[in-house]
Amino acid sequence: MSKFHSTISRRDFMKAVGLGAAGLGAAGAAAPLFHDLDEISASSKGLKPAHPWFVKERDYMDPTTEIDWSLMERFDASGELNNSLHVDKDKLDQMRALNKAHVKEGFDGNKPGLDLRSYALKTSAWLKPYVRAGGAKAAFLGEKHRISTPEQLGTTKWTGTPEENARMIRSAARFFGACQVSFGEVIEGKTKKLINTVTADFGPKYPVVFEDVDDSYVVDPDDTGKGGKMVFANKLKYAIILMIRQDLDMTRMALSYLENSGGGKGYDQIDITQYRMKSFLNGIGYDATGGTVMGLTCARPGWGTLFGLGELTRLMQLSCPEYGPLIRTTMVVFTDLPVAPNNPIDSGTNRFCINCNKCVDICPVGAIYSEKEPDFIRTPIDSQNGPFPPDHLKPEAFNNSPGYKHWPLNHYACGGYWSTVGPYCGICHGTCVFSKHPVSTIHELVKPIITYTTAFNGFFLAMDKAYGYGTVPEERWNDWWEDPFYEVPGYENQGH
Amino acid sequence: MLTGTMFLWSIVVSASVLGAYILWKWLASKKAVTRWYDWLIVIIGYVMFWFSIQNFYTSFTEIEPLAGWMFLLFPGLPAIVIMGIAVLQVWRRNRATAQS
Repeated sequence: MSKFHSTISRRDFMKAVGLGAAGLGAAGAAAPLFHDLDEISASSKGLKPAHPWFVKERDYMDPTTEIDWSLMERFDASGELNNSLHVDKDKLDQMRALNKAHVKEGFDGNKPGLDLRSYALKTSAWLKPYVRAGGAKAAFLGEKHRISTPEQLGTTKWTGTPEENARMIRSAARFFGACQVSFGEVIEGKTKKLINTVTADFGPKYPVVFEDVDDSYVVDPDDTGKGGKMVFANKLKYAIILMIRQDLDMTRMALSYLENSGGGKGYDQIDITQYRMKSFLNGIGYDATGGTVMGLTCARPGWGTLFGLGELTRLMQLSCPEYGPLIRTTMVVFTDLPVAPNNPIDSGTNRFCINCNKCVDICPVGAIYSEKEPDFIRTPIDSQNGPFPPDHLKPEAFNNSPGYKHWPLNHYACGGYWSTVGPYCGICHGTCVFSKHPVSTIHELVKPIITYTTAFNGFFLAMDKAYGYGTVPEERWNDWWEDPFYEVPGYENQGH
Repeated sequence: MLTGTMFLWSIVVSASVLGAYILWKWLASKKAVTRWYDWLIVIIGYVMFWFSIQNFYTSFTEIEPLAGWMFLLFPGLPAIVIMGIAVLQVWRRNRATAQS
């Protein structure tokens, strides 16, 4: 349990009940644990992400993914998904030309999901207005310069216990657009390593440095592009991890621009949600920083895994018990507002991936690691997959720190493919066994079983394949324009 | 919160309980002999049947038509077979009792 959980746990409560039943006189003299049933139910409400009943809670900082913090490396995000690092200029030009040809082919042939309207839907869902306007710097600082602080309003800053703050932030985050929220800590030698060394997005590169200052700030680079830095105040000890949904029905239309629209809209939601959260924190008198997609921390699945939102999968992405991998991402906002951190969870997802190769089988370029067990490796160095074999593969540009047991993704094979075929990919997302709508009772029946035993994992995988779960066939893609596939009351309002 | 779906299912469950009671009374009026396991088999089959119907319907909502039809095949078909076996068992037992 977290050291911040000062309220009594269920186990302790039951223990106390047991002691009472044994007739210990001292128990009667002790102060009452709870005054009424409302108080009991409210004791943990709002302190943890709202997971289904079957999800198991693990000890603090002990996720289902094994971690060796001594091997964990901070990541330079300025080169991720940059094909030019892995191929020569001629090949890069060929790749770009091929992509352009594929885009045009879709327009000319008026192909479902690849036509002009689908392309326009994608670009409209993916406007990224905030980060485009201000780059990584604006994403780091938020609206700090515009928000009225308590001092300016002639009052003092908001104060509360870590538990009270956690409840308050969770309510605000849900209102701002997050479907789930958890809280973590920036720990020296551990989670601090999950913050990038360099960040860049729609603008110059900034090294991220830590200083003992009152407020985080940014120094712009000079004309030569040097001298800039992003200063992360050491007092920012807490992390607010916001989860953003992604439409499943769109995602299952891969490869198409319709699929990309779902992901793109998720990214836009990330931007506005984290801007709102930072502004809120500034407004109640606290410092807050964050990043963009390539921003302050690229280890976003790591934060979600460590602090109870989900588990790491073979896709090297987070899968949560509610939506599987069908979240666009988790976005982390760092603050000095004390919040009670959450424990990691276990819903059997990580264990399921060990014997499931469904994403490996469907990936067109073999980018997903096919070995059964995860490992402490960056990526197989001889990895030559992809439509354009790399001239000089640089695995160090992959966001695959060897500090945790994972199935390392070949980022070049993955990125190289979806930057040459027209639309971005996402087939693995739409195909994953956990990418399911929560309406058929079979899914809700299988999940608890997977959580408590691995005995039926092979059977469930076989059934998933036999029953044909996966992406939506291409001939159905145009139907979406007539009538969006999935409309169940309440479902669309879960924070996306 | 009582959603529309929960309300519909509560009607199905209530109707099922009422139906089971009427069936039990009817069998009693006919002096038919039933065993506890006859009822257990029927209940299992009946739950499997509704499970199949629910998943058949929602699989189409999920744009998974193959899954929908497969649910009718399994566990839908075995559900009907199981219930049929229970009915046949009761009928045979009572026919044998009547003949003896």
